[in-house]
Amino acid sequence: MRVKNFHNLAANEKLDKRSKNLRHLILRSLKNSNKGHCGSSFSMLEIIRVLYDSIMKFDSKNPALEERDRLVVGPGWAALALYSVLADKGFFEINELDKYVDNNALLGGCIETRVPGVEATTGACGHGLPISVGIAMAQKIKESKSRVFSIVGDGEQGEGSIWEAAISASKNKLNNLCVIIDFNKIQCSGFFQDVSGFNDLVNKWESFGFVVKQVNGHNINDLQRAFSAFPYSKIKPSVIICHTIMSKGIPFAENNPYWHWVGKINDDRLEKMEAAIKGYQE
Amino acid sequence: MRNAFFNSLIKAAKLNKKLFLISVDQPTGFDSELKEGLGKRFLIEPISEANIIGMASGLAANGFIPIVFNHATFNSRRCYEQILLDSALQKRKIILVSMGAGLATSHLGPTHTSTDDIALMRLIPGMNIFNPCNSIEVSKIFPKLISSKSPCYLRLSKYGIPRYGTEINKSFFLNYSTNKLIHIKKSKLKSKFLFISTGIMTPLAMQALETFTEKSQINLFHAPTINSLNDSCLVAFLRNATHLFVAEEHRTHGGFASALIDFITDNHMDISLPKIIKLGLPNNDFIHQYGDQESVLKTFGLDSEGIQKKLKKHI
Repeated sequence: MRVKNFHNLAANEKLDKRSKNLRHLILRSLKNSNKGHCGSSFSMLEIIRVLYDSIMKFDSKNPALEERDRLVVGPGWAALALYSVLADKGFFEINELDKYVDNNALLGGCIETRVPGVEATTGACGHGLPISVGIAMAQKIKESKSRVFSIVGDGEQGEGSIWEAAISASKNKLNNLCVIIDFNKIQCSGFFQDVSGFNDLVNKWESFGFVVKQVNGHNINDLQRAFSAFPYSKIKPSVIICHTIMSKGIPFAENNPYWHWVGKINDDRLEKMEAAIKGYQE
Repeated sequence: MRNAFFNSLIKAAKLNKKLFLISVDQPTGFDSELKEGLGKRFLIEPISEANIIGMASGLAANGFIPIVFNHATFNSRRCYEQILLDSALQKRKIILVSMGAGLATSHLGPTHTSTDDIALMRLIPGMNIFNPCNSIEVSKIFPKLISSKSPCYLRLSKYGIPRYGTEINKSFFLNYSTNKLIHIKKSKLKSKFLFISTGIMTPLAMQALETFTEKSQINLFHAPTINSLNDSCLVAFLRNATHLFVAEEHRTHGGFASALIDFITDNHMDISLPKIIKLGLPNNDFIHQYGDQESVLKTFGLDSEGIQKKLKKHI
């Protein structure tokens, strides 16, 4: 599995109608805000879509359902990826997307628990995974079958708290915890390789006691297979490294660090983004 | 104080299955009893403060009442953002039990001397800060820690060190409420001199007053908490006071004295501020006195003799 060039696979991955529709929901919010974290919202969209479409147990009319599976999205700045899927699933009215980051809006620029369906407030790096460890621990003690999925940004792995949490998850045998790395290889100020300077994620996570899998993070079937097969061990937590493309779906923005966060999304730019998504290979 | 806390916890754990203790690699002294009472709900975790607070938040979100036991410096400033965002912001109650606060481990130097924790915790919305004066009070505070809806910080100043000052015995804790000041030494309501202390400064203040010649002019109160000062009794005494002495085992900026000033100016603009005399630790540098707690308290004028000197200057 390691010999595959996942990055190229992800880059060449087509997008189906549903993926395009969800991207158009994100554009609805950007139309109102004129700014936002585009890059990671588009890179992790298929991950979140697959979890809600076919993997996780949940009830959008009863977000506190005790036996639900949990998703924590550590990169809280990628709020639009999560919010577009939650809106699509009916956790809140879809027109809330049109008020994104308005004064007094439900939806802000980072993920918050005040929004129905959200399990953890994130946005400051390195908070999501420790919270996920606590949630997974709680499920273990309650002898619940609920699973905990926890998305971690690639650049977010620079935080010590990520590795503190990894040690704790491994020590406490939290096999109900599935860490998902959105490995889009770009972070706030540049390429992951240049800023963070490490690429041996497989070895790192294995050495912390995790079962490690790699997958093309935009291929729906691959994601479904990888998530369905979890848990991978009776005693170890798992990590699925999802190779993704920053700003996936907008060719002129893909793999461009400038698109991590973009301001000045005027009508002209928005039209170009819409056209790019519409015209993307299906 | 630590023993009193764990004795209370062991008793409560028999009935309350939500209680969950995480020791951050700190010896409790009661490991086997806690294991028996809490079972899987007692963890001794690696040194990883940021993770522990996040983990506690996750536990709180799923029905548990997590208690994090650690040294005061590491349980406050080391994981400050986690306390603020993972607990307070998300309304997930965590009980922080901080041992070795103040000068209790002054021999270890500035890395362990916790003289800023009250100031830090005061800035966290909804945080309840409890600063008991002795082990009796720790047991009295315990039910409030459990019933409180928002995060709690229990400041335990000393462990394994002999008690200082005059004993604040059980009689002072009759009808105890953490929301009310304890009137330790009574003078007239119209007395001009009001003395309010918190934490282990209360037994020291009481000792100082016992042999102070003008003691009959002074009302001494103990404050169990830093931020629940809305006590009508306090307001009544404040109206008559010309001098307010405030004692705390904490730097004088940002701590209890500052909380009192904020309380008066925010809520009682009609009260003329009395002259405020702060008895506390310095703000302009780190504390590098390596003596034991008692000797460092003396260095900074926080022993009974030092307190008397301050009083004499103004009375």
